Amino acid sequence: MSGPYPSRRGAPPGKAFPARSLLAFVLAAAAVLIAAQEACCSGDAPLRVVSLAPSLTREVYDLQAPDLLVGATSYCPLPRGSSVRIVGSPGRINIEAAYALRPDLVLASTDCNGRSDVEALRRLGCEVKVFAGCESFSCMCASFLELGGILDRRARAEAVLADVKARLAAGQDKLRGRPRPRVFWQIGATPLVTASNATFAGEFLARAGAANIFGDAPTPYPRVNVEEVLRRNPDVIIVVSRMEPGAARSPWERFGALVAAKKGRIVELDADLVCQPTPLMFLRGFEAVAAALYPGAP
Amino acid sequence: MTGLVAQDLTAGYQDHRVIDHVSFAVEPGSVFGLIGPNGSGKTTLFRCMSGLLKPFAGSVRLGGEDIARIPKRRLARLAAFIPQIHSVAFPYTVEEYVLMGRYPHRGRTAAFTPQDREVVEETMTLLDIADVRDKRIQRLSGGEMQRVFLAGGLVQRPEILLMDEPTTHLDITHQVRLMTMLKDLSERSGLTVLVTLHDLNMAGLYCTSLALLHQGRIHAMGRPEEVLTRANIEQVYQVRSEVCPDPYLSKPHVYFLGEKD
Amino acid sequence: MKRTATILVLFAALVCTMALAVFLGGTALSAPEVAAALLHPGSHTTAGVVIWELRIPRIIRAVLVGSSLAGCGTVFQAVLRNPLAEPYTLGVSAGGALGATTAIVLGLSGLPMVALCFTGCLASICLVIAMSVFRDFTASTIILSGVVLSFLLSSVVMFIFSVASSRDVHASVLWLMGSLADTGAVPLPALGAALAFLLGMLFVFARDMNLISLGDEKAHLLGLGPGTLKAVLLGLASLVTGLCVAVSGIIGFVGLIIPHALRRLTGADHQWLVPASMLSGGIFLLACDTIAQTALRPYELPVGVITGMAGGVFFLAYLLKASPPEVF
Repeated sequence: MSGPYPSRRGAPPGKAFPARSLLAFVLAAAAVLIAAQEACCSGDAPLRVVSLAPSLTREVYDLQAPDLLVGATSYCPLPRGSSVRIVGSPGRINIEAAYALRPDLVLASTDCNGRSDVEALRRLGCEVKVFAGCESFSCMCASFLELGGILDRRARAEAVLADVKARLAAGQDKLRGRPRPRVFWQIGATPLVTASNATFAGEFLARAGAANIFGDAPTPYPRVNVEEVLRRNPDVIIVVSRMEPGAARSPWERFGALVAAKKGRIVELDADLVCQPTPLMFLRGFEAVAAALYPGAP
Repeated sequence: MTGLVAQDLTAGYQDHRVIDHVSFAVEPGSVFGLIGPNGSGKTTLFRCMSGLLKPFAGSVRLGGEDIARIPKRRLARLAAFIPQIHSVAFPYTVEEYVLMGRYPHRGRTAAFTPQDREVVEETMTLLDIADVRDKRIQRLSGGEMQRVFLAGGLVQRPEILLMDEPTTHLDITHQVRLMTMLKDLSERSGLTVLVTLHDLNMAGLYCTSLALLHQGRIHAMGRPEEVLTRANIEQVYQVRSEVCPDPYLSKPHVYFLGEKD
Repeated sequence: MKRTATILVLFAALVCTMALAVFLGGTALSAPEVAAALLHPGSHTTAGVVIWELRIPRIIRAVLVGSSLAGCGTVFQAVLRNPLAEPYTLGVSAGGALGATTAIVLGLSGLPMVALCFTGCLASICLVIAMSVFRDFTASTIILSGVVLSFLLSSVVMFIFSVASSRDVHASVLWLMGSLADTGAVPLPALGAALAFLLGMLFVFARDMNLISLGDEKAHLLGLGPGTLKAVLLGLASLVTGLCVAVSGIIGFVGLIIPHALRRLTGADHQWLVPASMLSGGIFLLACDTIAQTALRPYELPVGVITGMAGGVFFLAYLLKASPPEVF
């Protein structure tokens, strides 16, 4: 800026401010404001997303859209120092806090969110997208793709899925031709719960070429009797638990007749690793199961 | 002045008959005592007379009307039933409790009138409980509580007063006071009183007439000297006794001699 | 008169608590924001929506439920002649829990769930009254029937828990802990109407409650036999309790502590005890709910936890301070 006077937009210094320029200025300013308003509502500006389920939060990060997330639950995996606001726990959402973030979109899952919370937010005018819980890989892929589309990250979603499917296929190929172990998948100790083939755990085992001794159970997560496990005598027991390492083995080790116990094939897997229904986590889960079933494989 | 009449009463609980074909009349303005051993049906008879128990057969008549036909609120203005002293669940004050006796006159929502307050005041003074009016019922002695319960009935300004074992739990002072008061009330204001008693001498001293119950039936009825006889006492109570008029008031006095052989 | 003054003070306290509660909730709003929202009801600011759509209805619901539970508490204590009786003594809560758990397992929510829950409450009331009328309808028979039914129904609920999925069990347990959040199923006017009805009935029957609490013998002073009176009062109070349970789950201690504590303040005469209890019940539950929302923000504690703790503390203090018990 030259001269002692601050220059005014559109006006040469020293001259009176022409009315036409003022009008132009006002119209330009108005146009900018209106455009900004429109942009806000037309979706060009970044979406404000609140996620009410840990798996959905994880997928938002997988889609490389962390800047869209403004709210999440206490169980959601958030990076340290994240500025994402906590809106309660998945079972009991703090509606005020969720609403106060003025989200454009709220993500919920039938797995962990209550219907009344979803309806409460809808009554306040929030857009809530509810995803059904997934037990199969194909379902997880479809959900992931859908989420990618909603968040305008479809390309990224497709890329991730392509990569995951390729690695999954490769992993399965490597295991072809190996002997099929009979596996008991254990979730929890009292009561003793297992997974049928109609679950993602069942799918891990199927893709890894193992036989689930309770695969044909009528319900997805049936409660089973210890005696029945002994009768079916699996080769491997995979325990998914949060207990301290070693604690899961001891109850089985006293059964001398159990093949798995004799051969020391009782494996513990971290629950967090295998219990989140997203495509990437499915891949990691599969790889962990494969490693557990075929230790020392290349 | 109203009388109370039991007409051929048969009553009991469930299928079990406790009193059988009992009839008697309580004269207006008298003090009528029901006596008899435990299990003779005294309490059952008493509950029938006060309208608390429906008899299997027979009726109770108040001033000629069957009490089963009298609307309960009107019945409460005619007859007051004073229960045995018992623990009260909530800390009502004496005045609150006594005032409740005026409910039959006021109904559910009408406010109390100055006349109600006057009646309460009079009764409390008469029964010597005015200075404990703000005390909670549970904090009273046995004698005070009995007088409070009595006051709660008297403020109903009934014509008939029914009291069940009023002298149990009372010491001698209060027993005498209470029975004297009942006698005075019946003589002065014509109040008809029906009491159950276990003490034969108290009964003889204060009652105008007695009915002696035995195994659900009336064994003897009439003036005290007619009912309190050696034979009757032996038959009903299984004890040996002698009965003579006492040297001071000439009322029949029972001397207990021992068990019947 | 001292008791009129108590009622007026309680009323003022209720208004103050309600006013204060508008400023406190699950999310921090500054006082100017709240004030602005209150003054401009139509605005669609965040604060405006939070205040008018969430907080104010919740405050009203808390006051209605708290008053109703306290009012029902006085009825139960009077009829059962026991200062430790409370609205859930007759198994209403167990029936409601069974209804709600069944609804959750069947995947119902909203109005169908509320209806099923209320049906559960109703069924348990009818069963208790039927069981006790079959015997002799004295206070001890009624209490015993209630206890028996509670145990039976609770074991059915436990059975359902043992076979249901963990998600359903989790949802049921959360429901059981009680919540004053809006489920959209029972509109506030309906709840308000129920409370108005209760209030009216209690006003009419206040003297009867005095009499019945003394024993069966005095009940006839106002014209109703003891049996009829007990059935009417218990039925009425149980229905209102059932509605509260269907709306907000099982919130304990309000119906027990409030009448118990207020009796020391206003005396036992129900003509004063009932209005004082209802006002205090509203204040108490509103205060507990506000604490539940703000103590561990943004996590919302179940309101039953706060009322339970308050109840525990109250009884501890009572036991330690009171002269040889007036509780028998």
